[in-house]
Amino acid sequence: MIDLILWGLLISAGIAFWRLIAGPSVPDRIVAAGTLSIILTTTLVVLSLVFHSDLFLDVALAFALLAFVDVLIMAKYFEHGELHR
Amino acid sequence: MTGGIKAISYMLMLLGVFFSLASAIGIVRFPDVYTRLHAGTKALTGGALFILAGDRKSVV
Repeated sequence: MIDLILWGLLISAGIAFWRLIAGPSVPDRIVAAGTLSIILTTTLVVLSLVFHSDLFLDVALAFALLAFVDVLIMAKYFEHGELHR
Repeated sequence: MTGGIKAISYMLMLLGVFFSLASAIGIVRFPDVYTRLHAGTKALTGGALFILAGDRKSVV
């Protein structure tokens, strides 16, 4: 039963990954990257249930913080062309 | 009692998977950047909240 949830999340990640590799412009790819980060964070939390390990929750927390900063830095870089200021 | 909690957890997680699939389909099908942003941010965060609400250690 938990396999069905993991397969659904995997199919969602595959569809969003198609938008990541085929997006016509840069903001499309940024949006697809944010979508993939949220889907993979949720997948990590479900995997902590599957493997009976709390280590996945710490990894999911660090991954969520890193994905937030990642999307923010990408948006700022592609808006201004440089990172400072 | 435990069976009821397990059923509620699976229903919440399946609802979250439905939201996630709908968000992914919206990301592919919508025509513009802003509509894709709308599909990929709010609906997917709601689906992730449903999945996280359904996660219990007594499920598996």
